[in-house]
Order: sequence, then structure tokens, then C-alpha cells
Amino acid sequence: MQQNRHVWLVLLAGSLLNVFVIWASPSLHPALWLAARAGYSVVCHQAPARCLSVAGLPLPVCARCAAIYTALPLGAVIALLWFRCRATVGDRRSPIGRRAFIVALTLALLVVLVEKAAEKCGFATTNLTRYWASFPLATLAGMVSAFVLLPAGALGGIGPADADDPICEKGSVI
Amino acid sequence: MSNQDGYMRPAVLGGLASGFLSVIPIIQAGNCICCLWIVVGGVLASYLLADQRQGRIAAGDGAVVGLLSGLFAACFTTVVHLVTFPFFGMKMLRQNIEQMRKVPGMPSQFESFYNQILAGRGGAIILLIILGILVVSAITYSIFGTLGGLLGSALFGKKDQPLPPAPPVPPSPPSY
Repeated sequence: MQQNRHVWLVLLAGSLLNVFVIWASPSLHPALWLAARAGYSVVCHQAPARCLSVAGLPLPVCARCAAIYTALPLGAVIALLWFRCRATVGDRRSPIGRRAFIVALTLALLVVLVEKAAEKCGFATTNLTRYWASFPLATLAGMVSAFVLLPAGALGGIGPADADDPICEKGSVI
Repeated sequence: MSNQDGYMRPAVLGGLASGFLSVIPIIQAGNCICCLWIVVGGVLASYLLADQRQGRIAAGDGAVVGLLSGLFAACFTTVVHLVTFPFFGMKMLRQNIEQMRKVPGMPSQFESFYNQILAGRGGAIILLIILGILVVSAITYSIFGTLGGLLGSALFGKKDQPLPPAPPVPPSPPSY
């Protein structure tokens, strides 16, 4: 369980660094921005027309990727705060049930598909609509990482997420 | 991390597979769909670990092996980019710069910067670009590799497997 927590912390730190590089690199030195663009070229098409702009420069990833990378750590932090709030009131069960979570994931996926279909059918979509359409799905993916890796009482303070703790065992969602 | 958990072999194989798919032209475009090949590499690493342990694999094991496979994939792709940069890298950089020049409202400081690179006086920049590829791919690949590993542990882990019996406790020495 301790190992799970470490993996989750590494993921969170990496995701936050990712968010910083994506949103801050256009405002920093041109060389850093170009290095970031080269770096993300292995995972994104980076068409300038499909990228949001900061300080007059396109971000190193497209609007959809920017939403995914920004929402992942946000979802993880929301899940962590949720765990902690529930633990404070003495309820260490999972925040939401498996069925509710699958419904939420399906709805978020539908939003992405509808937006994509609208774009294909010739409806005018902007980078902002692409950004916000991808945001909920990535937020939920970030929450999944916390639900799977941090069963309850996350990151100490409230109580360790112990494999021997029967409440923790019961509390896992996925 | 020690190899006693048996993570290394699945992680290396998963990382090599996903890294290889991520550098083949055209096929590498699959990574534009939420790092598809990296997720596949994480799932593969998780599958190999589950196979090695007869299905006894927890979510945490899947996450660790997925994370490691993402890191191996990042190292593999960076080495490939480093080796192929003299052949394809400058052309790619030139295309990227030409694309950027068409963006309206580009700050003027970029023009002199680009001219410097195109004139072949950008050795340090090229080093920085290779470093950028390593750092960015290490971060993104480890994130998506972990998600793939988690997915793999959910798919291939057998939940009703009995846990191995605990080792016998040695008898305590008699007290005199």
C-alpha cells in the first residue's frame, strides 16, 4: 500500500510538472518553448490552428491534449480531497459507487464523441469547445488513479491506507 | 527498485514494444490518441507480470510496472531520436519553424532566434531539444504507462486467487 502511495505521488508530481511546462513555456525563453514543442511532438499533432495561445504563442500541445494534461492532476487532487473530507466525518467508504462512476465516465466520453461528431458534420467548433469537451473525461481519469491507488485515508493525517484494514478493503471502487 | 518483485523483465519488454511503436513513421501517430502505444505497453507489461505471477497482481503492481514501462519507452524513443537527429531532426526542426512563422502575431524576438538556428549556430538548442524530448516523454509516458498498467491489472489480475501461505514462524528460543 505504501508503494501505491509513492507511485501516486510520483504521478501527481509528473502531472503538475507537465501542466507547468505546457502553460508556462510560451512565456519563458524561446529555446524552452521550442524544446517543449519538440518534446510534445512525439505525442501530439501540434497544429497551430488547433492550439490555445498564451502570450501570443501557441501552446506546445493542441487544445484537447492541453485539457487532458491539465485535468488529470486536477481529478487526482479532487479525489484526494474527497477522501479526506469523508475520512474526517468518519466515513471511509469510497466516495461514489461503481455504477455512478461508470455512468459519469460514459457521459464524459459521450461529450467528447458528440463534440467530435459535430466537428465532422461541419458545425463550427473552437479550440475552447475542444478544450472543455475533453476536460471532464480527463478529470475522471485522474480520479480513477486516486481511487485505485489510494483506497482510503489517503496520504496520512487521517489514518494509513492499510491492506489489513477491512474498511479500506471495502472502500475501493474499482 | 530491486528486481525481486519481478518488475524489470515485463517493464523492459512493455517499454521496448511501446517505444518501438512510438518511433515507426505513420504508426507513431497512434500516440496522438491519448498516447495509445504507451497505454498498450503498460497493459502488455501488466499482462506479462500477471503471467509470471499466475494472475496474482494487485493494482499497485500494475501501476509500478506500467510506470517503469513508460520510463523505458521514454529512454528508447530518446535514444532513437538522438541517433536519427542528424538525418531527420534538422528537417523536422526546419518544418516546425516554417509552420511557426505562419502564426500571426509571433513576437519579433523569435525571428532572430529562428534565423540563428537555421544558420546552423544552434548546437546548444539542439541539445536542449533532445533534453526536451527526454523530459517530456519521461513525464507523459510514465503517466499513460501507469494508466495502462492499472488497466492491465484490472483485466488480467485474478481476484479469487488464494494468497500464498505465510512462511512458518520460527519457534522462539527457550528462555532460561
